[in-house]
Amino acid sequence: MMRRLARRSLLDVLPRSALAVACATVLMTLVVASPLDALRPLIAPIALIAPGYGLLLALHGPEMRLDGPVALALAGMLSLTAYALLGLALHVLSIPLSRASVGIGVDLVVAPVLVVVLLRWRGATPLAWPRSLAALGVRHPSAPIALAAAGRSGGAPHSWVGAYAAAGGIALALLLVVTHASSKPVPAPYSSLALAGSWAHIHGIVQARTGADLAVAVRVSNQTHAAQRYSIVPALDGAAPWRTATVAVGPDLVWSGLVRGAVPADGCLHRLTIALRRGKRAVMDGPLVIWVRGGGRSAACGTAYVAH
Amino acid sequence: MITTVNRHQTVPIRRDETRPGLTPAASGRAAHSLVALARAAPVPLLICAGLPAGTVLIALAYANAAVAGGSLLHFHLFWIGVMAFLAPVCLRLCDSTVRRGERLALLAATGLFSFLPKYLRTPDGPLFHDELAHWRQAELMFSTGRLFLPNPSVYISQFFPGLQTMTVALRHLTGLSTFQVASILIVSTHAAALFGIFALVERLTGSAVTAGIAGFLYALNPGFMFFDAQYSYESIAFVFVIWVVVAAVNVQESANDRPQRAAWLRTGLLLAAACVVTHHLSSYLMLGVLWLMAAVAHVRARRTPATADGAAVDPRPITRFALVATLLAAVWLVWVAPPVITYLTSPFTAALDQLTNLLQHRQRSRTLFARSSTPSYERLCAFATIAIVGAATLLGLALQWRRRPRSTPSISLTLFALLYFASLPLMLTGAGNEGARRSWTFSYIGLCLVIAPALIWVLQRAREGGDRARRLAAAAITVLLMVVAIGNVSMNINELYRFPGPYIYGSDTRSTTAELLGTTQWLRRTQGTGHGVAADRYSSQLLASFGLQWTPFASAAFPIWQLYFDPAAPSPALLRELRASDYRYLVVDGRMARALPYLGSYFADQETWIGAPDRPPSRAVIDRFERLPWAIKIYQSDNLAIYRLNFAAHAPTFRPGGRTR
Repeated sequence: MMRRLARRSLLDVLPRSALAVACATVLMTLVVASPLDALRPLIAPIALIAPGYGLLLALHGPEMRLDGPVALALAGMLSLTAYALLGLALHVLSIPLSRASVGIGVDLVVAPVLVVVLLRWRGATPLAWPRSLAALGVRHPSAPIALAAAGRSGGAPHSWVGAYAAAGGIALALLLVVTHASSKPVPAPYSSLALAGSWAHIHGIVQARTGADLAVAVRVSNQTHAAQRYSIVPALDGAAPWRTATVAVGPDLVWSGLVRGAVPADGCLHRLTIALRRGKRAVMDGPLVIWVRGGGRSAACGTAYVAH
Repeated sequence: MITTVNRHQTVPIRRDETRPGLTPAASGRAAHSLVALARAAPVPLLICAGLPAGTVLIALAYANAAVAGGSLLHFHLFWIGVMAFLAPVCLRLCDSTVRRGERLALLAATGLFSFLPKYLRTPDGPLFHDELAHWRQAELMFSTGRLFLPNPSVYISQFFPGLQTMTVALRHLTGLSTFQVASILIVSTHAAALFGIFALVERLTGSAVTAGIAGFLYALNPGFMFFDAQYSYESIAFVFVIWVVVAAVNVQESANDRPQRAAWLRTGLLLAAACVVTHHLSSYLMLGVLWLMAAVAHVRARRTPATADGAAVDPRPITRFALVATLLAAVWLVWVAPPVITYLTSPFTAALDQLTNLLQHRQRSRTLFARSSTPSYERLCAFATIAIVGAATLLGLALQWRRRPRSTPSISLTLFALLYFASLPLMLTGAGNEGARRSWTFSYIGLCLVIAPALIWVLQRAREGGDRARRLAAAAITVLLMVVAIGNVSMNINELYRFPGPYIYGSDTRSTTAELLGTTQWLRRTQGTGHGVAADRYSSQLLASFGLQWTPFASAAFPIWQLYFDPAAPSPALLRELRASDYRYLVVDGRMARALPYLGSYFADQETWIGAPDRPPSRAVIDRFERLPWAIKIYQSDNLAIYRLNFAAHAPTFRPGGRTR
């Protein structure tokens, strides 16, 4: 069979569209395999159409009776079908979806499809693709009204498709201009205070060391779109006041630093709160809250905190 | 001095007289030809002008809605923009002399144009509730390479990985982001859907004119512009359904052409397989259409052994098609997605119960357009739409009744179209209205086939009355279809989904703020992803999607609201569940104590709290975590707090000390 095929030129046995699918798939594979990532978005139309068009040619053979735009739409849907089923096949084979597996998978879908096309076209005379169903003489038993024939052929002398495409291009350009030029709402301003560094990962009650200050790393984020002067106000229940830190933070900037103070060596549980203020006003709903147990021996502690 | 102007001498032209670079003669000729063109073909010129003008107006509507609250200007700008393009397109499609290629081009343009509002609503990333869930699913699939990953927001989506698989495959091939691939997918399938309707109606009626109008009509269906333009499994699956129906019709209509029938059968089954792995409801409605076609074919085969031209109705091909498609769906349902039975039946039975109660006057109906902020003309159009669609359907049915011979698929799809009217009473029920609205995407496939020939019949009758009558009829049809366009959008989706605007607590789309996004990003950056994070419904949306955290699906079985609203300790059962599911973080939105949510619930419909139901829970209850030693507050912004839960400190033997302030 191969010898027989070799005697004929490829165009004799394959429709141009199948060759186009083959070339497009090879191009897509080369681009996906290449390190030039910037080129990859350009193959989106090929990725959307080529595998499905190959499937369409294989399924319908030389007798395909679909014209350009409708066939392209169906090819697009068949491409999506191919991707969905390819993903399932890879899952069944326990192969994760990756650039390599998808790239090779698409090739493995298109290659046998083109072999089927080759076999179906062998010896067959490909039909000239019809522009309309009428050209095929397709029977329409349910054609309801005489108007049915209108609009299929003949009609207006001018085709406006090019003008519509140009209008679409202008619309796209205007859309870009208007969306960039129009004023966008400013995001609602807010500030945030968070534990920073390893303190952001504390899991439970902090055990303070006897005789040493406790230094807590915090991070202030200013998303108010204006420079702010914040006061970071730490307070430990049942202990001497900790020093308030005042920091200036520019718009959309972050400040990180330490607040420090002493923890009584009483072995009791204390609540450390760290509040953020602007002037004398509390910025937020509440302070950060950390639970600290003082070092040293356990004294007679209060029982104000309950587990619930 | 008299100056004579030489024949070859250039005469200076005042710039305000004509376009620069054109001589008076040339400009005159251009103006003349433009006027002549406008006279000869005003509608195509209107389309060419309407496309950019409509685009700009819609973009301005969105820009206006984003910065100016309270006014209705954005609605007016939006609809003027939509009409600027759709009205001339409709007029053009009513013209029987237009070529088939131009009709397809107009449908493609309509499909792309219909995607514009959703794109402008959220051009930078996903926003709608469902699309956030699917976006998360695709992101996780891309990063892990694995399918069937659980999803906290739309848990059933894990069993239908079709959409995400397509997205991830295209992401790997093109290198684009998930959202970019999603936009390309949706916009291209929008056009493919209209081409599918065109192919379907052209096959059944043999008329490109009818097919063009049917495609246009489908673009006006309630979900097409917004709901089905979001990145969601149904947005792709309904296009598969359309093409499966195209394949089924071709299988049925190619009785004497075995190769064609076999080709369409294979094509249809491939598409049906993709639909089955993509979306549950779409695949079951697809099966409904296929079995309806098979049933009608069987009935007709018995009643009329041979049609007028001697060809018998052969029900076997379509039955085979329906059988294999059902087998595919059944295998998927039993082996992969058994939970879908409960997922789909519970709202359906609840809707039927409510409908029964309504009929027996045991329950009041849902108020249509309750709290609607849309202009009154939109609501009027919504009611008018049902009347227009009803009248056009009646006319279409009458025409079908007169027509001989009737094709089997036409009868089946006409019956399927009646699903639209059957679903309307469900709009009066709380549990059923969403299902009813979703079904219209599918029932419009049949409605297009019924209504489009009716509109063509009107045009044909008008043509007999002369050119002026034909134009008037085309204009009347355009006006009616524009009313349908407005009404359908209005009855399908509310303003909060459609337009940006000021923050509204407890709404899906307007609760998303920079503060919530910042909080989500902080949690992801410092604590990592995949943690169990207890949060209200509105914070959960972003925490689960952009934060890739595991947020709770609140229900009576997992009453997470107890943790927030119950001043007593969480129940042992809830505590056990929180520990077992490894919930390590708790996000508290301080606004819970200040406002009632727009959608009516903070977590789920079953939630309760101590106090009056028309007032939010007390501040003291919400703030009590600040005094509980098993909760460490690691983050606080203006309204949002993140606690790390330390269940070890929640032991009953825990005896804390110290003093309160």
